[in-house]
Amino acid sequence: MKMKNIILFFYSFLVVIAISACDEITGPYTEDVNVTEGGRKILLEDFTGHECGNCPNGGLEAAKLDSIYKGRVIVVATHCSFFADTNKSGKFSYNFKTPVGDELDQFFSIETAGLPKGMVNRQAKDGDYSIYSNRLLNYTEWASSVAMELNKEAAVNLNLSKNYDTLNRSLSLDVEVEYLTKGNINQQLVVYLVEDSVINWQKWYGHIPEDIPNFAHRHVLRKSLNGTWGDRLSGSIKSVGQVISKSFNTTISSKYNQKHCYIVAFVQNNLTKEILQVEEIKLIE
Amino acid sequence: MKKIFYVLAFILLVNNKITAQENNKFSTGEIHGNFQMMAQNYLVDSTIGAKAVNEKIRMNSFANLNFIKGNFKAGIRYESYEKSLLGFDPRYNGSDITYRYATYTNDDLEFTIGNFYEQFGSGLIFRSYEERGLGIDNAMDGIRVKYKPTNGVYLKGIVGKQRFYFTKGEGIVRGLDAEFNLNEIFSNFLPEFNPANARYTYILGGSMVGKYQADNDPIRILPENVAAFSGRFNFISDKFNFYTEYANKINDPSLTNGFIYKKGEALFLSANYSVKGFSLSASAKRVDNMDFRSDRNADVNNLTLSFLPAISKQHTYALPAFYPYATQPLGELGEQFEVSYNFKKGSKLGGKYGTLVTFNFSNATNLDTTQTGNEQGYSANFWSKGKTLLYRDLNLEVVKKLSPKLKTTYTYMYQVFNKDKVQNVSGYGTVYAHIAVFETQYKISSKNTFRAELQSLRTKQDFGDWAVALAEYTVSPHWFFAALDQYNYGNAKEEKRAHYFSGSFGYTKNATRFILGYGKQREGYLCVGGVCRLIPASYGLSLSISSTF
Repeated sequence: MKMKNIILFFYSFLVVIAISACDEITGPYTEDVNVTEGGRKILLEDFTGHECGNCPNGGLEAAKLDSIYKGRVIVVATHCSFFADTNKSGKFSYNFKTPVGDELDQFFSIETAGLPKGMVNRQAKDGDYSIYSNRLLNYTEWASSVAMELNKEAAVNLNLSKNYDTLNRSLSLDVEVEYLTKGNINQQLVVYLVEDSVINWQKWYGHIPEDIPNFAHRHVLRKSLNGTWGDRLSGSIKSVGQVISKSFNTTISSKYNQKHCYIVAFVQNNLTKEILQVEEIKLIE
Repeated sequence: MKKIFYVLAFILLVNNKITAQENNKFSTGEIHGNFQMMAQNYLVDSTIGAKAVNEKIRMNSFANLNFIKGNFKAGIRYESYEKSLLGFDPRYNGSDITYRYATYTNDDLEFTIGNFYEQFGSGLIFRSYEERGLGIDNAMDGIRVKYKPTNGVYLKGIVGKQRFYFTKGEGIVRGLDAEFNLNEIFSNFLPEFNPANARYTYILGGSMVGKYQADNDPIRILPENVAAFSGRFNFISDKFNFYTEYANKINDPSLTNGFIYKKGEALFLSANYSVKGFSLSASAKRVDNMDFRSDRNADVNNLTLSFLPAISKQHTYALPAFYPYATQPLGELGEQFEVSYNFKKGSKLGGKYGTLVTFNFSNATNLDTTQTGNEQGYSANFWSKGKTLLYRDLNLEVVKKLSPKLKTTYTYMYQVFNKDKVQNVSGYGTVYAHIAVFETQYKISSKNTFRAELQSLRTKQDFGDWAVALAEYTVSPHWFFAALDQYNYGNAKEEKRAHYFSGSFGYTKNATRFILGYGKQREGYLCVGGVCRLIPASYGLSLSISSTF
């Protein structure tokens, strides 16, 4: 067989393979999720903004994952970037921004990457932690990333207990960190205050109307009780089974609906920013 | 660094060996390449929103080295972002070899291993390319084979993955393209088809591109293999050229289309007629859910397979390019028309030296769609336009030479720019702008030229009115000096009525050029071929060095 014919044959073969290599989906379009048991919980950070017309799609995805993996996925919605800027009056004049959100935005280059974006336990894509923005995922990547993270073993256990006075709105919080693997000096404890279902304006492309006056903003990050990156857990290496306790006292602003508020505490490796474990507790059960 | 050392050592060894052989009977190989460096320091200016950076100075640079010996070619590109200039994705970070390839041509067969750029037809289903100014580089890394089995038949096959900053995208891309030049094929049987004396040329082509990406989503059922097909036809005569291409894509739920399972399609038509002193061109495009990428989760300009050519005029002056149109891959119906006439020397309108007049009109709307409420997302009426105007540009340009030394250009434009839809932002609405530009160029002597531009943009929307003044002095062949001011005098916010002064000078010697600049750069979109990148406001000193060898 001549070289010419061999190559033509090769091309024809490739064409047939290529044409047959199409997966046309006619339904069903979703599948049942196999939810495994385990001690590890996942922090899903949803970076959003009230003038970001695509961001409600991220919120929907977060809600879907929250519902599928009941109690094992903890969502915090951080309003940041120019999409969260405020008008002087009228629509989008409410300020959802926080100093923590601004710092996260700057650190992970969220505004440059565009919204909506999210982080799942602040895990870096391809394991490359040298570039901070590598942790930012589009919302369509959250589900696979959450499933992968849930399969990992927990490195620590977190136990939260609180004493909350609804009249003077004072909160006393105790956090116990139990080491399930050897701990190191880079691990830090971070404590956020989150408010759920804040009703205000939101832009949503494809929705009628596009500007929604009474949108329920879920899991809104309000502040940190100990800074954006938290406090170091210990100055020495900890062995398995050791427990560290930390206490926090704060007053919850009257601007927030205390019935919708909860505390999210997590332990992160402050070098890589990977989150090892997360837990939440409502102010009012 | 190790990698660079190995590659350079390889090239030197090969070259030494060839040089040694050359003494006997072979010619030596050649090394060509280019180098470019762009550095900028960043100062704060709160009026224009310019921010400082921790590093004070940032730099993008690269060098290409290509070795050619007979039918063999090989090369590398080294890139360095320490750190990347503002406006570029921060994932352009660090230094490494990002492009390396080897190509060998054997009679009618050419194969490439490593990185390559390629395009099928007009790029509707596949274009792998680099646009450095936009930070776009979706180079393939894999294998490419080109083969010409017989006269007039050109086949291409590609397999590989696309570049994603300093890594590769997840998706595996496979593609085939076949082009048939009917004149060359039938030249033996039909003498009038012989390319040497044929009046008309007919070219047919067809492509197929498929991608594979694993479905790791625990909730959705996603197609792991997605393919797109296209067919094209080109008719060429000495005065007339007609080109059309149609593309179709199977279900491709992705981040950009909101995970709908609707098929995609695109149609592109273009016709040109040209005789001495007169030309006429028209083009039209319909795009429906045709954002095709090798990774379903990619966004912005990342990992694109499809390239949907812009059919609006690409303006080069600052203010006409202020509101650049970016192709809308999810849905767009657009058309463009241009007529150009050169009034002859000595005629009433031509004057002593002739007058060139060009009129251009382009328009783009969304599609006429109906939401289906299911996974198909929407249905679109093929033949009717949507009600939302995305872009309209009506412009007239007159180029008039007044003397052997003095040339002038007058431009007027009316633009309608739906900023919210085109730039995917909110609260800006649609901008209606009147723009005028006057340019003059005076040749003082055979080596000294002075050029000036005055530009005006009037609008009640967005940032309001702008004026631009530019003066440029060139001393050939080495020096140029330029001063520019962009003044946002009509901004509704008084504190934002800023001057954006900048000055620069450059020195060119042979194939090397140095440019030093200082001043303020306004925030804006830089677009090439309908693809855009947001450039943030900046203030400071910049240095650029480029050289080819």
